[in-house]
Amino acid sequence: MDVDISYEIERLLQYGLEKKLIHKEDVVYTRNKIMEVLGLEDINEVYINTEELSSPEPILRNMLKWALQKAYYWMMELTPGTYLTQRLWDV
Amino acid sequence: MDDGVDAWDLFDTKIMGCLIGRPSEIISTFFNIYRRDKKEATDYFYNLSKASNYIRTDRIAKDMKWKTQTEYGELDITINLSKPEKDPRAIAAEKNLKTTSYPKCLLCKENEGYSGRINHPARQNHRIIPITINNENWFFQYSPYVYYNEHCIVFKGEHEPMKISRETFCRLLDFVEQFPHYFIGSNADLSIVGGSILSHDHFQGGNYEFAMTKAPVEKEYAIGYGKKVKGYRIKWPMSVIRLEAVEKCDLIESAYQIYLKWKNYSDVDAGIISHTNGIPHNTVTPIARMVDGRFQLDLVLRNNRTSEEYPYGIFHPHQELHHIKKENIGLIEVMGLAVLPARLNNEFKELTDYLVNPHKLLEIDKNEKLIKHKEWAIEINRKYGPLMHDQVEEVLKNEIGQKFLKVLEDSGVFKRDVEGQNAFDKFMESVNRDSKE
Ligand SMILES: [Zn+2]
Repeated sequence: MDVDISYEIERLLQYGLEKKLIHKEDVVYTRNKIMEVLGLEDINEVYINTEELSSPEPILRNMLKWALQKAYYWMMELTPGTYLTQRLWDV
Repeated sequence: MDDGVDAWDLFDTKIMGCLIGRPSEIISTFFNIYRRDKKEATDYFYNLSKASNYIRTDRIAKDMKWKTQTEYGELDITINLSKPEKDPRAIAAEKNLKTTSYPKCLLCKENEGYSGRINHPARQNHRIIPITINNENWFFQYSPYVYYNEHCIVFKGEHEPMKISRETFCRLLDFVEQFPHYFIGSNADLSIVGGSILSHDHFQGGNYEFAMTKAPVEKEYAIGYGKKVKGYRIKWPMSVIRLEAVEKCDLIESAYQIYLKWKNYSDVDAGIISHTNGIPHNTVTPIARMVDGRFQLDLVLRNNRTSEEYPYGIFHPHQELHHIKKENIGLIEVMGLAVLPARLNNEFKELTDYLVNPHKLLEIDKNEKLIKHKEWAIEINRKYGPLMHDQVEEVLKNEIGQKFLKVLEDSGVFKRDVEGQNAFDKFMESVNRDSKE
């Protein structure tokens, strides 16, 4: 299933607020930083449910899956069966 | 896991780096809390290090941990599934390696915010706290591997090699004065008996009571310095002198004198020779803590000499234990926590099948991974007979714990028998004699 990256970004921001890594004044700024890292110019406005996570790992795993899917479509045309595409199936 | 660093880690660390404050914000928050409550300050920083995923709590949770009861108390065993193991001889070779890369090592302060590369972890989400000990600039951080509760690392601002000196004792005691709820220790500064990083001076500490900490006093020694410093031998498989004093300076002075004495101490009957062709073998693993407002310093006597019979080290786990542990016996093991390599996890799982079906032991030679455990498996079978599925894990864990006790006994310079303990007394008498002169 495709990952909704906009949704995952909001989840991560919520995690950051919950763990006091960021404050509410940092939210817009941090969203932009994450978008930059992910190479996104645009995201959708989404609403998320509150959740309590002890680790950001589930969110990061989805983001990675998203990045690999993006890379996968791109790489299939170039070099099918490479290390990266192999690893996609482990995610 | 290859060498502990994956392209994935570089990716998700970069994302987490977006969520953490700049160093100056973290540092000022830390010291604002510290001024009010020291423990609360470290709680804040420990939680931050976990929340930022610098400490990967989901990975740490996969480590296998248990305790084994022995005559020296409960030893801790951890099979580490998140960090690769290093060959002691490779570690020794690294000490002489030219350092040209950036950051110079895994500890250097330049790691803070570093984007990483395939053989060096990304650290965008990593923060360090500057502290002053012995009037020098050092830094405080947590270990990403958390071998025990609040496992912290204190490292020198400059990339300089491990060196036990008078200053070491000053730094350790300064640290516990500033963080009285933490212990702190240094690895020895010689190969084989030291830790895995000899190229950068650092300590390890934390909020955990090891079996060695709880070990009872066996004997009190007069060590000079009037009655200001108390000296004890504790009941432990390795050779530990426990010193106690109210004043830091008294403790530093007596520890330093004992260290100097030990550096040049030989007792041929006990197999202890301090130098070979001018190359030193004797050193100590020092550990400091505060107990009821008094300073306590444990000096664990170490010797790294090798011989034809024991090419890996005379006071190092001997060959027959290498199938479980052949890595350096550093500070953490010394205190009673075995950190065992990840490969053992799979080997033990496979081994259970042989112990439940002992007739298979005849064919264990066919299993390349398990050949090295053969004698041990036969010994366990002789002791327990065929094991049931629901007891094999428990038995194996206990037997591993007993092996670890042997590892510590091999690493002790004065053996636990009467001759060994007499040799220990003889050393302490010479310490006392010199301090009076
Ligand atoms: Zn360094």
